[in-house]
Amino acid sequence: MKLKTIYASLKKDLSFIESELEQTVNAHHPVLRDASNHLLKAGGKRIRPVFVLLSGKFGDYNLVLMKNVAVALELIHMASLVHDDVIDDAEMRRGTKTIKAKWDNRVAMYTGDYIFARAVELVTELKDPAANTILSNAILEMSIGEIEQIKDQFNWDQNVRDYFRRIKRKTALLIATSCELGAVAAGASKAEQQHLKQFGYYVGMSYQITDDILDYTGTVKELGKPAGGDLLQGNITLPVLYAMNQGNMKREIMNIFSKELNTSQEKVNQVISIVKSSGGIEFSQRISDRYLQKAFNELEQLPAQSATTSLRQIAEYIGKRKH
Amino acid sequence: MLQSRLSHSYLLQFIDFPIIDEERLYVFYGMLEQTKLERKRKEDTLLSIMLVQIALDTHELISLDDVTNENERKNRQLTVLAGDYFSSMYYHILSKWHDNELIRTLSEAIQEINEAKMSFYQTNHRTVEPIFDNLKEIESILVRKVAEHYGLDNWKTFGMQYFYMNRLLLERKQGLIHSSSNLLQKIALTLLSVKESKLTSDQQASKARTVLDSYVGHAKKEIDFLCQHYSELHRWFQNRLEYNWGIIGIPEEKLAEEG
Repeated sequence: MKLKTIYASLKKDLSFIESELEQTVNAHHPVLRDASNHLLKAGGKRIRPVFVLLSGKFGDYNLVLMKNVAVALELIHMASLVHDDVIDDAEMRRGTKTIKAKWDNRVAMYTGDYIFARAVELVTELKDPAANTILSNAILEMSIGEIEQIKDQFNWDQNVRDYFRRIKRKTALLIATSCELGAVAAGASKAEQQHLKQFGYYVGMSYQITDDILDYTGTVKELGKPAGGDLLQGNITLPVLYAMNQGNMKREIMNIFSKELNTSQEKVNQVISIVKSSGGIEFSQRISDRYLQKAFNELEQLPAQSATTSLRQIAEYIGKRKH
Repeated sequence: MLQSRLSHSYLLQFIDFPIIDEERLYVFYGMLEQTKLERKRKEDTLLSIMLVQIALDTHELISLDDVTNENERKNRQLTVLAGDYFSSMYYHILSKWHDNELIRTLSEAIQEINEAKMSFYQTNHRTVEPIFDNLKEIESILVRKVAEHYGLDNWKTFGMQYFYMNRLLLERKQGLIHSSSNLLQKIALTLLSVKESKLTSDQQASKARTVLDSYVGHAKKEIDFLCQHYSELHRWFQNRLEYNWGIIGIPEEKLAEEG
């Protein structure tokens, strides 16, 4: 099933969120406004707002209140992407030039900081003070996760546990928070908040593992950038971690990277072949599926309604997506 | 307290310890002393406000140049992340106190500061006056927002002028030590694009310094005027002001040696 079909039930609300996103980043300075809109117009799956809205269906769904959370979560995600592109020195994202490539690093830094502050301001409008506690905790963990990722670049001695801890902070927590805050904003019961949070966490883990698989299997057209980008940056993800535990593949991979100081696409392609032949892709897929199953189990604890079905469909999409 | 909260062992392997602006620490401390917040909350509030400033200052260190080696690459990556980390810490600390109002005030301040920075950096000004207005905004938004938040009008007026003055002095000092500064370059460019375009680059730089000095002089007069009106603040700032006025009086060659 396509994401567009799954989103159909939320079409009207999502188009409202989209226009709110545009209005929210409507800065006074033209460059700040253009830069913020640049990334917004490049699209994206809007998975976080969708999770916020669907989780809100388990309580007293009020779009005016829900929109603050939905917009904030997408903006936080966007702000982190803008800064990530400075970190990765990336030229392209979602098939278009990154802000740092179109303007420069400084514009990217100011834009990211501006968007992040807009997001935080929106969440302060929620009545429940717990909302800020939940969100700020996720953001703090997220930033620690990003630091850990840099720390672990080209660290061939890391293990799967390091990887899981990293992707939990980097991706899963913000998706878990999207679900939890959606439920909090709508005043869903504590038990429902917890199940939705857990659901989001498991889906987030599966989402990131799928992302990491696609970095090895995707085409330029599907990814909007060449395959192997993670490895080029020194990010060691699950498929390569698995490969490194098979026979003498760890030595082979390390040899490829130790010959010269610079990492080239040619080297990355060699490692991609090794990873593919090792069974690392299939292993990672199985782990991703296992997380998805855990996510489905959480949904079974929630009342059966159309939002539950939609959450399940999105989770299934995430596990099978090609980009 | 601030130093220990800023320490992140891995970050500090690659980036310098964040610069704590003692002038701001002193002013915000003084402001919070006027409030009725209990001790621990006062400490956390001061820490949060300083973290906002430190996060902004940290991101200001990101250069436009290409990185040429692995160390530079790591330094840039971690400078971006350090700023994000400090920024998330301010939010985290205040949310523990459920202080939604101050979170909102500070997030508004961050937005306005980034608007002002973008304006300073991305606008081709026709005259030098808006450049100085811009600079004043960048330096004074945080103190203005915090003072308004706690209803400290005297501190607002004085603090805004004080931080503006400090920035002018810093730019002047950098100009003397490194022959130029961001502000001096911006002034020189603006002069070049308008009527002074017949000047040589040396004349341009000299003219820019003269312009800066005239604004320093004007800012000093403003501070002197405010001191006459707010005697209580004058007492609080007396030592610092004497030091600042001393800097203005120091001959340029001596200042360069100090640097």
